[in-house]
Amino acid sequence: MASVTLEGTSKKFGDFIAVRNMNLAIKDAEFVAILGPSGCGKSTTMNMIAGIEDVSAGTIRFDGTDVTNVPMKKRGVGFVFQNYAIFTHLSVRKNLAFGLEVRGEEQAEIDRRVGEMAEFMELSHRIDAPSVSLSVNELQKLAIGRSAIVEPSIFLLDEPLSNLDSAFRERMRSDLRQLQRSLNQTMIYVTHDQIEAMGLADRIAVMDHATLQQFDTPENIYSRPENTFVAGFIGAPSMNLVRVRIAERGGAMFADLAGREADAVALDERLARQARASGAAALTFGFRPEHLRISDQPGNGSLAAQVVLVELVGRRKHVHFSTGQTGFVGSFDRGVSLRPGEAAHVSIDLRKSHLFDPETGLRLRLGEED
Amino acid sequence: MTGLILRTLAVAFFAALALLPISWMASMAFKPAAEWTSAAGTLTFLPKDPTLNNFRYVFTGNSPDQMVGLDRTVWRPLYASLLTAISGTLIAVICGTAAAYAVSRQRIHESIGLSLLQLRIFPPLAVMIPVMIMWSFLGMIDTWWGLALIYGIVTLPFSYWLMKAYFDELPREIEEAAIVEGCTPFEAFRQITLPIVASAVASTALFIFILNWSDYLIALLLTRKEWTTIPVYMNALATAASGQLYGAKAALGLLAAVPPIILGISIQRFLVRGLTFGALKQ
Repeated sequence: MASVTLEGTSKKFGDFIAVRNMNLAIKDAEFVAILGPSGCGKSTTMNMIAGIEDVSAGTIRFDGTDVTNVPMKKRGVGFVFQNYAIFTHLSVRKNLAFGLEVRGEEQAEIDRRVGEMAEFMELSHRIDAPSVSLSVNELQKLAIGRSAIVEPSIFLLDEPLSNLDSAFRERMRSDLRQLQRSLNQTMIYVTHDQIEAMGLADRIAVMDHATLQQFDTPENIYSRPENTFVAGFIGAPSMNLVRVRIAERGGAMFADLAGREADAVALDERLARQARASGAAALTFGFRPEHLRISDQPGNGSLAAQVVLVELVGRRKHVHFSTGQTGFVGSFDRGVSLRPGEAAHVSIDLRKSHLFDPETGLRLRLGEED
Repeated sequence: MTGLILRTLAVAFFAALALLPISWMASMAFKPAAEWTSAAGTLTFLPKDPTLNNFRYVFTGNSPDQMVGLDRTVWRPLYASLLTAISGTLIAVICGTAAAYAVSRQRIHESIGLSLLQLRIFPPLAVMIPVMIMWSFLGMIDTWWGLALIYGIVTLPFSYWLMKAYFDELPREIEEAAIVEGCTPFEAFRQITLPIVASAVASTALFIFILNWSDYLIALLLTRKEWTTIPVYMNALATAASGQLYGAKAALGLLAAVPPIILGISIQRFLVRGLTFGALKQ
């Protein structure tokens, strides 16, 4: 069993920085997803952990032992590649047995474990088929099975499910989770699919532009994003991030949307304290589409807005609002009746909203537990 | 329907055009000396009086058709051709594959590929005359290894570029997967990469063998008598009594086509399997 620690790890390709000063402490038997848009450095991070890429600076430790300069053949990690990297000239059985044969296991033991893994991955009926004849779904299962069969204590998966159809992907997700639990492995999983990351991982490392943005539980990533990137990246539709002017009127703090006093949101105590502590005149106000409420009467602290566009997405209705100066999106139960052109009174759940520094993008916070 | 007929006719026409010299050669190989040219009367496509004398002549040096015997039979040039073409092919395929793999995988300067092409940029004579001088200086003229070496060198760019294209296409993840499982990089190359590119190596080898086998210019410049190859020997097939020995040449031409065909058939399994590289998502 093993923990994985990255300390100040960086990777440069010439002048291009692929990963910048990464600090990540992954606990033993933890399921961690590395999530980010394409080209953010998540695969490079994974390759450095596996030893496929050497690091330009910093340290990688497995269970406290420095493995930075240990060649990949000796790191003993399992790795499932995005393109599966199946040995096409070998049969399914030979592919599964490969790692065990390299390790010099007894033939009887190899046969037993190959049989078990084929059973678990539902490949038993294709066991002697040439691997080129498999379907994409079967290739996927074979790729995972081939790596999992040696029971590596650290198991790395690079976007393994991105090419599968959605029904099979759901199946594989739960199979992976089951595999990770049964082998008690440390699993690191690279994906650009936030639903996959939110559903599978114990903790998520969100990356953008070669830099780790936040490393936290799915719940915290969603409800307490570290900065505007995480706020905007997680959730569909993503969090509304609106420029506001902070003003104090009659002892109360207001956030004026797009600087217009007519579109003011009265801040609650927590947000008011944060705004006051920052001392900034302009901030970014972040609120999730799910945290809006609609009423037909102007209420306490509600905004007058016009409905611009209504989209039906599954059982939800995504409504685009405009105040004239700025716009935002709300997500409602599909029962809500709003039509383009109508006026609506929208109130925001301030307890679940955040203020961000427009310069650094960081979320304002007062204490550690804020 | 008419389209299909027209297309078939067009294909048949061009096929006939391409096959005409070959079939002429095949027919000529079985003609007695009197039928080689129109001197004896009319020139016919098929031999009127088929004979194996032309083959007998090149293999034994004597023929009932010919008054004068050949001072050299085909055996020695055949041996020379096989030895030099095969050795040259081995040199080019082994070195070219190794170089292509290294450049494709190790992020080595790719300019090596262009510098290999230097030999091919100039007209062959411009390159081969200096080589002849060097070979002469090194005492490698009219040796089988001197000829094999230059065959290996001039065909190296082909094997390098062909193999590099295959290696570039083969995802490195396949080897990385083997190494992550505990192989050394060399084991990964031998157990995984090489079997997967075996078909590519086979087709490259066939292509290079045919180039070497059919070379005339290099063998003409770098051999004298001991190690002349079939094309050079064929050109010299003439006697004072009969002039150019067309029938013997045709018989030899037919024989010279045999090794590439045998090789092609024996590696057909690799050639037709196609290059189904790495089971990838794409």
